[in-house]
Amino acid sequence: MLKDVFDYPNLHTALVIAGKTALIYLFLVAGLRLLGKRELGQMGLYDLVLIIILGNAVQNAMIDNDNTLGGGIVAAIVLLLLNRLLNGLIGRSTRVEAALIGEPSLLVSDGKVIASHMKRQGVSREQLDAALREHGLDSLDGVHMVVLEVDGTMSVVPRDAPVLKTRRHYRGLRLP
Amino acid sequence: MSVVLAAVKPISVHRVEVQAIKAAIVFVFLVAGFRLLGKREAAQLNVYDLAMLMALANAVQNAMTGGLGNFPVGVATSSTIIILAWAVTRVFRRHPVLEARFVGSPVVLVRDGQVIHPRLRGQRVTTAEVFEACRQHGIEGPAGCELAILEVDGSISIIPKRPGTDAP
Repeated sequence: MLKDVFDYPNLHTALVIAGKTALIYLFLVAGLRLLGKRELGQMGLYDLVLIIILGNAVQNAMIDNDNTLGGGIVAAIVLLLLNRLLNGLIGRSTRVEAALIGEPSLLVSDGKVIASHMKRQGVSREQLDAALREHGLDSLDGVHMVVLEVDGTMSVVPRDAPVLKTRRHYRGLRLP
Repeated sequence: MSVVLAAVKPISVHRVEVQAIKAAIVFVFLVAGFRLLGKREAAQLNVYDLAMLMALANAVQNAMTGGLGNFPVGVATSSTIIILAWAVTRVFRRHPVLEARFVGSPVVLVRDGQVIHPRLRGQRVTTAEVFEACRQHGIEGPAGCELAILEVDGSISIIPKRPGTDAP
C-alpha cells in the first residue's frame, strides 16, 4: 500500500519534468507580458478563461504522462520556487516591477485631462467619465488626479479627499 | 447499457484508496508549499501568480488521479480534498490561535504617513502597491495615511488622516 502511494519517477524523468516545467513557466510569463498592461490588468471573464485554458494546454508538456506522486510534487515545487523568485525580483527592483507589471499612468492632473496619456493607454473620454461617476463625481472640477492603475482600474483622487473605495479584483480568492 | 458500464468502469478498491491518499498528500503538500513560498497578499495576485496557480493545479492533477479518467477515482479524490478543507476550517474555528498562526494576523504597513519598509519587504508588498491602494481609497499617497494595514485576506485597508491633523 505504502509503496503504491509514495511512487516516484526515476531521477532522469524527475529532471526532465523539472526542466520542462521551468521552461513552460518562463514561456507563460513572456507570453502574458506580451499581452500588455490593459489586458493583463482587467482580468475579466475572458482573461480568466484564457488563463485556465493555458493551464490545461501546458499540462502534458510539464509532466510528460508521468502519473506518480513524486512527479507532480517536483513540478509543483519548481512552479512555486520560480514564482517566488519572480516576485522577489519584482519586489527588489522597481525597474523589473515596471517592466513586468507595468506602471500606473496619470490620466488627469488637477482637473485637466492629459490627452496623450489617454491615447497611449487606449482610454476613451466615456470610460473616464464612467470612472468619475462611479466615484460620485459628474465633472473634472474638484478632481486632483485620475490614475490608470496596473490592474486596469481607475483611481480618482479628489482635491478634498473623502474616502472612496474602488472594487478590488480577486477579492473572493483566498489561499488556504 | 454499455454507456452505463463504460461510465462506471470497474476498478479495484485498492486503486481508489491509493489515489485518495495521494490526493490528500498533494493537498497537504500544497498548503505547506503556499505557506512557505506563496504570496500572502492573495488580493494582490498579479497575472503571473494566476498563471502559476493554474499550471500548478494541472501539474498535480495526474499525481492525484494517476492519469485515470475513472469516475470512482474522481469522486474519491475530490471528496478527499473537500473533507480535508472542511476539517481544516473546523480546526481553525475551534482553535483561533492556530488560525492566527497559519493564516497570519493583520500587519501595519504605514503609520502616521511613514512607510514601514522592513514590514513591506517582510510581507513582499512593493511600495508601488501601497501607493496604488492609497489612490484607490482616494488619497494621493502614504503621506495622507493615518494607517495602512495589510489584512489577512490580502487586501490593503487605508485609514486616512483626518483633516486638520496633518503633520507639516
